[in-house]
Amino acid sequence: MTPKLEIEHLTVEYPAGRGQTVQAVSDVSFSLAPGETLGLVGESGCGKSTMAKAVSLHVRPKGGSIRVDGRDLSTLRGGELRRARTKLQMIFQDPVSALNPRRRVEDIVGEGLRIWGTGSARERADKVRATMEAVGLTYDPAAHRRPGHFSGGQCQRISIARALILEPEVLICDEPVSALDVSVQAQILNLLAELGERYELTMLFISHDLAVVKHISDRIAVMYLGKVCEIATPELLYERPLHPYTATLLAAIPVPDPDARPAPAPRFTDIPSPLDPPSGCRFRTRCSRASARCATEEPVAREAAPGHVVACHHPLAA
Amino acid sequence: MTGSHPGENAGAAARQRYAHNAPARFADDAADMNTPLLEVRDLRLSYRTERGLVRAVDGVSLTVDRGETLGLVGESGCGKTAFARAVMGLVPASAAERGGSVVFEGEDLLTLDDKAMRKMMGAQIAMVFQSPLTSLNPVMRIGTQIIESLRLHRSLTKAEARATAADLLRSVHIADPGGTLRRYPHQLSGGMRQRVIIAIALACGPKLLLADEPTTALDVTVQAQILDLLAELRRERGMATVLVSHDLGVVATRTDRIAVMYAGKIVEYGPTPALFHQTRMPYTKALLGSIPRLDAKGRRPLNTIPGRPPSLLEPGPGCRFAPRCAYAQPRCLAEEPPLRDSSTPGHYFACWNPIGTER
Repeated sequence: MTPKLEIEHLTVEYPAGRGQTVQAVSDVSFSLAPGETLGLVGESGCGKSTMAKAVSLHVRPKGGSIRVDGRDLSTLRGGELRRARTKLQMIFQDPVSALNPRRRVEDIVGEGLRIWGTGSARERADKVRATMEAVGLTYDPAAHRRPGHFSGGQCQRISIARALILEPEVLICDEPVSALDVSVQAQILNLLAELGERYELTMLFISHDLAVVKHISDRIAVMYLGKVCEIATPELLYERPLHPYTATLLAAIPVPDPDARPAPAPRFTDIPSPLDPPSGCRFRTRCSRASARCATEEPVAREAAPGHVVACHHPLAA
Repeated sequence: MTGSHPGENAGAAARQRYAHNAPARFADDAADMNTPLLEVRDLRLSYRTERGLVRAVDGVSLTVDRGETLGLVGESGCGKTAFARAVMGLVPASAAERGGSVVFEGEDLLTLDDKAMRKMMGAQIAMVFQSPLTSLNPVMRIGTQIIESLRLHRSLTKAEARATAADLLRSVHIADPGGTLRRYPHQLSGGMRQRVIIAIALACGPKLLLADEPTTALDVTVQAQILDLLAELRRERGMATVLVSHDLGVVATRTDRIAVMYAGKIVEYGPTPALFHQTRMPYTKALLGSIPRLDAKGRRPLNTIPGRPPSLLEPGPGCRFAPRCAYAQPRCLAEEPPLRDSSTPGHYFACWNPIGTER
């Protein structure tokens, strides 16, 4: 099966002043089958939001390709780029600041249709109503409701409706539930899973929370300092993590059970600056299994077990 | 609230549990052991807004014993931060109305004037805020910010204060205390900054630490380190802690007792194991059910709580959770349930139709 979305050797750089550049995403490759959801996890500064911006064609990569249905979109410009973007829609972390506070929510949701002049005004209104109802909102333009009238969870529903109205094929969710309370977070996660199935969406779901991505992902990729260090199905990743970083992340998640005895956290070591990443394996400065080889030779991603990709010289339990 | 005061009983129960393993340094302090360190009674905090009075904290009573860690849990807007601020007196009188009493070591903090309160803050009670990015002054060196509190509350010379500041940084596991004292906040990572803030909070050896979401802005690995650090400092210093969090996972393994807040009120309150294993209040259960868990099998939809928290402007007459509650009955909408005893000592809940009763 041809992948719906294929990322190959993607590298994104930002200028960091004084002639320096920071490589936020460094030679990342993965692909998503049609209808698949890939969870992308990592700590702050690992490059996951830059991935979202690059895949949604909002920042131009330094190198590599982003293919949708086999077509490289990373080099498109002008009108072609705008048309391509309609197939790739994005949902942001902060639902309140992602919406223009002075506009009616029905206008926010219908904006994409208006820009592209899709159908008559009547048809557009019908589409807005159907999409809003699909995400659990009521359609009532006469009430002149603005985003300020809605709670955070409802604003995220408005963002989802806005993203879905152009019938995208790929949905990029950048920490869509991080700003929400747990009870609302569960509602939005369930909604995204249901919509993904109903509209056969291919989803890139970015989160810092391994427990959240577990519930929605078919496969999960773990990022550290701009590199992907492990990709596997949730079953494999949570039960038999191969990369020491994945194991560290899993051990740090607080378990809502008073009888759980959390392992003592590793001693304080700061995440190295992405401006000057460690040589070889980027995780080696925090890794208990690091050897001399890790400092000189960068580990290459390889399939250690069927469907389980890891980039590590000394993987766990392999 | 009528009848016996739940807060008192909870304090007594916790004291019983702690009597045998209380730190030795309190042994000669027997008189003090009979009263809780902090006793909050019927605390009320309302903010005046254009649309009316918002009752952020509405009659909260609880106790904190010496050396104990109390978890205060709830969703955003439930009043947990307002509670911490009301205890510390960090609310301008012009914007808010406070009522009830906050008795700390026999003294009601709500009756203290500004000067007396300033003496208390930092020296006896310290607070750690959520955002390590905004809690430090960006244009002052770390050293100056730690020394400020030391010199204010303890008569130390500059050199002594500097040495104490370096010791404090060492106690929060900062590798290069001398260098860190000379740095500015932007030169430190989020986890380092939160450790500096904890060092400042601990500078004068407070008896009570109010930690308001101390790890929410941090990565999970850093969160685990900070929570371990707080537990270690609490053990070493016999310091009581109120750990405010929206995350039941954070408080599950790090607290002695937990109070669950909803819409400005405590709805369930008790020893941590009882709260998790003999949950009585449907809200607590729903909150627990909606957490995505690592140990869950397969991809099942998460349990959700329908609707959203009520407005604190004009709360209805009944239980505030009733409109979202799967167990709600007519009485729940009409009459507010008081906090009442559970079968477990020290475990209280506010519900007419609790989990585990015959239906």
